[in-house]
Amino acid sequence: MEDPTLEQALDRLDEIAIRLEGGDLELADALALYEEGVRLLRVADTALGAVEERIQQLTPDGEGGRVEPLPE
Amino acid sequence: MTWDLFSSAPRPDPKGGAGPRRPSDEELAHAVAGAEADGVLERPRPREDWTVSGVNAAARRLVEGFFPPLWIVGEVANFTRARSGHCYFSLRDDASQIRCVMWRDDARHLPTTPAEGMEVRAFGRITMYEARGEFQFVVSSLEGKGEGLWKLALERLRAKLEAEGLTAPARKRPLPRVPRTIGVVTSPSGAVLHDIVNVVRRRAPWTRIVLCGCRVQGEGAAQEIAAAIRRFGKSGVADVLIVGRGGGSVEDLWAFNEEEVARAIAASPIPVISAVGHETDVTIADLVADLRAPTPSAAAEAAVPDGKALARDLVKLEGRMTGALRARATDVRRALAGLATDMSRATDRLVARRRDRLNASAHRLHALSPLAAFERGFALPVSDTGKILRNREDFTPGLAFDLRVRDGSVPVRVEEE
Repeated sequence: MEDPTLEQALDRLDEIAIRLEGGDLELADALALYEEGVRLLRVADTALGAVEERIQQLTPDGEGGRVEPLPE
Repeated sequence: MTWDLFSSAPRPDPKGGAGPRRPSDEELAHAVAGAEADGVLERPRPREDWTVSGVNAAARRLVEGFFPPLWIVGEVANFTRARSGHCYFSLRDDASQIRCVMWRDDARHLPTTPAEGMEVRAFGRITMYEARGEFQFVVSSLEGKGEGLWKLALERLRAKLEAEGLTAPARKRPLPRVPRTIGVVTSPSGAVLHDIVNVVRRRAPWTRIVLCGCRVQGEGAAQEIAAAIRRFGKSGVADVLIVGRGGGSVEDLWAFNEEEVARAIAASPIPVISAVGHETDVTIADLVADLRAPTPSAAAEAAVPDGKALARDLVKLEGRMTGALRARATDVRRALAGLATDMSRATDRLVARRRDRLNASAHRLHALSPLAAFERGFALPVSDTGKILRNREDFTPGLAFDLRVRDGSVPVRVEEE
């Protein structure tokens, strides 16, 4: 499955924190959620740290166009 | 004051323009003489019969020969646009009127049709419509006083779009919180792209930027801008669009007032931020966009989140998760301890209950046992053969037996009769 987007990761992390704070979970479920949270934190941290160097351009190609690197 | 730049005809710009000039009789005489000398005009000779066509043709040559291309100011009356695209109207002042025609190719450039009674300035050539013998003014360029036509066009379009609900605040969509890609519609060479890139690289450097370059002023610019917006919509590469250009005059910005651009923005499946001109410039595009930004930098700030703030959020989230899990573990421990207490308490209770029952049984047993009877003072007569003497007949006179009491035996003889 594709990695979640940064926005999706942040939203899910928020959900996990709320559910964990809820206090009415079985310990096994709480542990599973926590693990998922740790994974998502890592995904988000990596995404935040990325730097997109190149600007791209949308050129005519049918109706939707094509994305290619913009020549400097 | 700015005037129409879109007319195809060259025209002189009258300096220190006073009112329109009325030719003097002398000037007219000179003109006729000149026309005669050029052989253009044949002075009508008395007693020679002219045809109607001949007269009209001659009059036309006279008139065209005299008047150079000129500007006329007046009020517009009865402006009609025929199906052919040609426009027919009159220009009036207090005392007179002149019939006018504007051919389709020139009328195409009008921002909108002039309102009845609107004060305008028209450039064109005086001529005669020979077939009808009508004196007329062929207009190639028309301007409203004080940008009147432009303002009128703008107001008409604004009202039309408003009536369709396209400018309603309720229609404005929220921007994505963390876009993966932002699309930019602007000139590839302007400062707009540069400003946007700088802000995005500072705030959210992981964000992809895709440009669809186009012209942002001049003939055809509106079509290019609209096409770029539509292309982004069809391709789906961007999560939010920034559409804009740098500062300029009303004409420079005009493409962003055109209906085609407004409709492309309104129909965009992707949220659109408009950043046209300076802070004080408002165009139709700004009215239909999901967000209007005063500058391209402001547009970029609105489009992407602050990466540092997000990093802090992540730290907070981790804290909440760990804290919650620790609390959960404490809860479990407490629950387990509670369980142990409960269990030992239950066991104690069980044991106590058993003990009580045992005691009760012991008491009952004790009560039933003969030993208890001895306690109460009963004695047990036992013969020397060990047989228990129960009945009266067992006690024959003179019989010797043992009487068992609590703490021992007593020898006993039954009395003689």
